[in-house]
Amino acid sequence: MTNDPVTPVDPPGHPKVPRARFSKIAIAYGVFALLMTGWYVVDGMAGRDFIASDSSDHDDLPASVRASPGGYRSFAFWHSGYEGGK
Amino acid sequence: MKAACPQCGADVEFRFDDTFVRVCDHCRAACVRGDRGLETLGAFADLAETQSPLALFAIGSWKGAPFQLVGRAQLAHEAGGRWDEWYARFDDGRWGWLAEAQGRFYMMFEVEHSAAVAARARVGDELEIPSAGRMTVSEVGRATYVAAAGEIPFRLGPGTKYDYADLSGPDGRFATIDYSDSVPAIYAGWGAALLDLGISGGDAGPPRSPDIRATRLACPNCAGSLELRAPDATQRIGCPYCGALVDTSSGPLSVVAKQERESLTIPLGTKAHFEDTILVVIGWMRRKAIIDGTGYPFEEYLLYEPSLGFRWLVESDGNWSYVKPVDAGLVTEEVAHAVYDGVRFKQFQTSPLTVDRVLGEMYWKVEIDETTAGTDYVAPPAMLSKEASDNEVNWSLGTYVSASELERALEGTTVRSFATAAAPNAPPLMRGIYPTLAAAAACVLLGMCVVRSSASGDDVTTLTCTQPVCFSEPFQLESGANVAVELHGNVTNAWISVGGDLVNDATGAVESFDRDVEYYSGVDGGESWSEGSHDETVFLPPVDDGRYVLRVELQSSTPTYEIDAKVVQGRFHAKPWYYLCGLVLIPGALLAAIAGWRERSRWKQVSDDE
Repeated sequence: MTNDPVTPVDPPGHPKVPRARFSKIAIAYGVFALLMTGWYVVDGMAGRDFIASDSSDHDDLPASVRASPGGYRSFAFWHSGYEGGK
Repeated sequence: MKAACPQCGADVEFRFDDTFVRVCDHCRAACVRGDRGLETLGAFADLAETQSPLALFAIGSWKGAPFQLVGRAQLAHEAGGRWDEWYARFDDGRWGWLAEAQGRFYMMFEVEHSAAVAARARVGDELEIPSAGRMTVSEVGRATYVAAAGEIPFRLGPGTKYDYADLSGPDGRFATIDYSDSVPAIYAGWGAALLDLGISGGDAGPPRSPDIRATRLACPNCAGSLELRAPDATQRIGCPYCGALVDTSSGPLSVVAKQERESLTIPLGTKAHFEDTILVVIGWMRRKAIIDGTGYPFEEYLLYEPSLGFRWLVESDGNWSYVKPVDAGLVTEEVAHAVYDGVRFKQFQTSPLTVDRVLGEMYWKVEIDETTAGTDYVAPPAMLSKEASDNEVNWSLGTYVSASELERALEGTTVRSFATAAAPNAPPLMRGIYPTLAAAAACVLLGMCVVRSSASGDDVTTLTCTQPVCFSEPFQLESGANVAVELHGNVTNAWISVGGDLVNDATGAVESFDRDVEYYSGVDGGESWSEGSHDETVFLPPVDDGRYVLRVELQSSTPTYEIDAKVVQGRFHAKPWYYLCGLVLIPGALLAAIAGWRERSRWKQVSDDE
């Protein structure tokens, strides 16, 4: 009992009610929601799908194929089993 | 004015013209001045040593008005305990009554009133006090003036008794009704912190060493050494060696009850760090909440710091709360709720509370089986508790303390860390999940609006195809926006399978896709039905700037067919937003459902108990 007189943290008889803070789970969920939404917005603004939803395949036609007579516009090209070159 | 004390002959000096009584510094006689000189009203007892930071003839300031403390009286409560009344003489001629109890101060002034206002009040009554407003009676009782010093502004004799009612109101207002005269007097004012009083100077009085603040007594039952850490306030002490409950309020110590010995989780004398200071555990009490005839025990540790007063640490089912007193007038009770400090508390439990065991010091004449009516209201992590008896109503505010927080506050004392039941004021594991979920939903909606507003949806070209393979004319696409191919097939009860290729004329980069356009309809049992759609949209990722050709290859279930393919750049795609909703909102909804289930379980526990 050797304290100097202290000034109470709260006014006497009128302590402040502690307000409930957000739980770690709520904070983590909020951060997750914010990140996901941010990801969605960034992708959406860039024209990309947030999660690939429509399937499409990417391929490349070599210039030699495009420049050949008939080129890729011919029926034979698309149905002859193109394998990457002439 | 100076004169000789009628009792001992020592010099007695009245420093002020408007005081009635001067207490002789030598013999404590109450000297009253009259027409024929000084008379004595009898001798007061010596002032009991307290840890008061105030001193006789100290100067101070209240709301800018300077005053001096010219007199002091000590009053005994009928339930035990003393409090101080200081008489403040203001420079503007007013008299203030400064009450001091358990580290709390109340500055009051006499107010004019009609007799009806001060009619006998009962605990819980609400009265309209002049200049103070509506106030609640928190205590009624009888006080006895037992000691005094300095100059007193009214005719005060030793042993004078009076009935009183204490009231408290909003904004820290406080009032006392004094029923000693036929017309009761009302004193109204405010609760105050020591800092608000601006106290300085004054008579130093006898030196007080911190080392002698504790006193030792011998237990009258077992002769064990009893340490009094709050000697000026202790009324009862439970002997930690033999369990005897000893009365220390007056005269020789006497045993008022015998109890079994107890082993405490927190030993008496333990230091506890709360409110930026160090309190000492000076007492322990086990009480029972009586519900349907069954007693549910909980333990309360009494903490003390002279300038702060008393606090409690309450343990129930392994859950701990740190408890501070609350002025009754600051609480508004409603049906099943109470409002305090702007927070609405929900009623949790109402039950009689009975004292079962006491160890260490208590500041009132506690008795075994002493019973009060208790009501708890919760707003986690806070709990507002009301305890009412015939003469008194006390409110307190408890704050949930985790076992680890408590162990830190107790400098490593190990406490029970596994709760056997959910605490009514324990912060919910997922507190804040509801507003977070609402914010997340708003965020997701806002995200959709942003993305949608950025989608320009420019038509680029259209290709109509009625042959197995068609090519569009070359068209220009820009980077940074998706490409949508909108397919419209004029089919009925048929399908068209579309193989599409978006070919960059310059680089040969190809984006390929497949999609079926099919539509079926008919009548079955008198009911018409349809299935599929004439329209399909394929979304392709952004492509590089350049000129492109769309190649479309068709197969169909019918010999003739037609497909319109429109290329649009920067069209809003809803499906990713649906995925976002699912990804964000479904987990949030699950967490909210779990939080709701846990909260219902907590309240169900109460209803089961009751």
